[in-house]
Amino acid sequence: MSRLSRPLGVALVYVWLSVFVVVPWVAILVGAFAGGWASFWHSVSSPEAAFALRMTLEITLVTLFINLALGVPISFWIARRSAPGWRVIQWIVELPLSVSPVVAGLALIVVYGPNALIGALLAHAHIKIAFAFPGMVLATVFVTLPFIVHETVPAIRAIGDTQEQAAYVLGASPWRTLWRVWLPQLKWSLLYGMALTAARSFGEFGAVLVVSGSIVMVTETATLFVYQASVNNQMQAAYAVSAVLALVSFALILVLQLVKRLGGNRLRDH
Amino acid sequence: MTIEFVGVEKVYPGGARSVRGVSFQVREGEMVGLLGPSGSGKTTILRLIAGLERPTKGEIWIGGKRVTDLPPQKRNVGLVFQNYALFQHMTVYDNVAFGLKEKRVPRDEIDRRVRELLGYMRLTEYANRFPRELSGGQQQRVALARALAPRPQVLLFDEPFAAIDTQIRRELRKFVREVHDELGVTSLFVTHDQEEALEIADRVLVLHEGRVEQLGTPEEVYEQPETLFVASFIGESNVWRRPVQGGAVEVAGLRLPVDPAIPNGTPVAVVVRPKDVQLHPADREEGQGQILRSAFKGAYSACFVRTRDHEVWEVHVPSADRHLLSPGAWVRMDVHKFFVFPA
Repeated sequence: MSRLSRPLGVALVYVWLSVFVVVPWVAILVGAFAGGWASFWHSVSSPEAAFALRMTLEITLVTLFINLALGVPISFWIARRSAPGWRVIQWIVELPLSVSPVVAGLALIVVYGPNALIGALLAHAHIKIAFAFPGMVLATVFVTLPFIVHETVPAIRAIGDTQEQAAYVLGASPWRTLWRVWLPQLKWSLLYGMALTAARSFGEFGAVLVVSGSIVMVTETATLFVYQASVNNQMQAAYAVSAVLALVSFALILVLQLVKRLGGNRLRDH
Repeated sequence: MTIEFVGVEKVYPGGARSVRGVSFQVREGEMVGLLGPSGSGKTTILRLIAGLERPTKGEIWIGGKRVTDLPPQKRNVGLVFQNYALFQHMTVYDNVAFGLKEKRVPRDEIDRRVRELLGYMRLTEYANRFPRELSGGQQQRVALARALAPRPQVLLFDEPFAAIDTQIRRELRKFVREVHDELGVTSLFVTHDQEEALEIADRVLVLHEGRVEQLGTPEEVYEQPETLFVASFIGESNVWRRPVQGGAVEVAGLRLPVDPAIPNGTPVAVVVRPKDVQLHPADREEGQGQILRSAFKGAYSACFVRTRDHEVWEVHVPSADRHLLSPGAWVRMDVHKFFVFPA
């Protein structure tokens, strides 16, 4: 019985994966390249599609930068349990994992929208957040902040604080210690968190949709473009941009595996 | 460099008091062992000297300079951590060079100094290894080399040999003492191993519940303990609590004279070292106790004697005389030396 059930189980997993994961992927690729390379390229390089892809890339890069700058200190606060209210910080950082991105986007509109107080004040100073690039970045940062923190906190705890103290006694300032002692040892955790952040930024839809208003050639990202194109029955365009997103995800998965393998030995040593 | 503590207190944020009004002085070039049970505050004192903790009250002076509020970066002390705290992502060479780079020493001078230290520590062939590829004893020597590189005038060791096998531990202990003598630094080391403290320290600072019990040479703390804690913590001892009766205390049928000024009925603790008792074979009538068992310890044997009032004494006798004292034999006891403390 058990001799039979094991191959049967494995077979079921394969069938399930094929039907629900592999086939849709292949379908996207087939759809994108059905008209040949030239028509794929034509769809991807149309002004609207190119704009959307570039906007997604820009949001991802800015998000990575902000998350790194915010994520490292937040990780230390949580890992050290030293900052007053570190539990609250941890809870706030983890919130996006359970809150619907659409709700997060809506919350930003409520605060920064042109009819809200802060939004109106900012608009007065000619700073536009809702329905503009800054709001889209904010939404993406909100959704992706947990990733770097999640990867980094356990690594900081595993390394402990005696190496830091050793560095201080040897004359290194806190800043130099971060640079020479902490970052080199947190490098793999940070890279892993960044890869997850990038993957999520590329794919973010709900939060960005609400915040941006999805205005063509102004605030339309790649995922919004795909949605709009499919609603408008421009399937070739939808497939082509989807294929680009799919390939980027695939590349990021490869990066994650590579990071795991390269960093694995080091991480395990701690 | 001299080190001086003046009324130093350390209270942790939770309210836990780790050091309570500690004052002491360490002389230039001295090696002092901080000895005490866990929780006695010895590691906190070391961290206070290094600047990793700030005192809640009191002052700390190093080399005649008040350092109470100086950060660790500016104290010019070397600290060897209990678990070595080597930089895991750096080679042995880079670990040792770390402090010199932070002090912006020229590159060729760093190289000369690091190679000199690696040679001195017999680590030259491990220069390009990572800490995880070394044994405990080797990591310990890297930690020492790293601490010595910036030429500190004060060297601090936190339980330096705790995680090392007995054999290598003895060698390292001697080695550390040699390093101390050769460099002429002032050293403090924390240990809970009294053999270690008595063997290599010039003086021993005995701590108990965050207070200094005694600061003295190994002979002094052993032969002239100032408190009951020191007497019972350093070396083996038999401790008996009795009221004073007519200027004496009665133990094992012996009347041990105490200070006649102590009034009758005052409870005191009498401490007798196992080496300060002599046993004589006796018959059943005149014997004060009976041998329970004895344990061979090399040059001497530890005999356990049960007295008529059912107290068990530890007595050390030369192993050569051990055959005279088989279990069950009756003995007479002579006490050469004892200490009396308020109980």
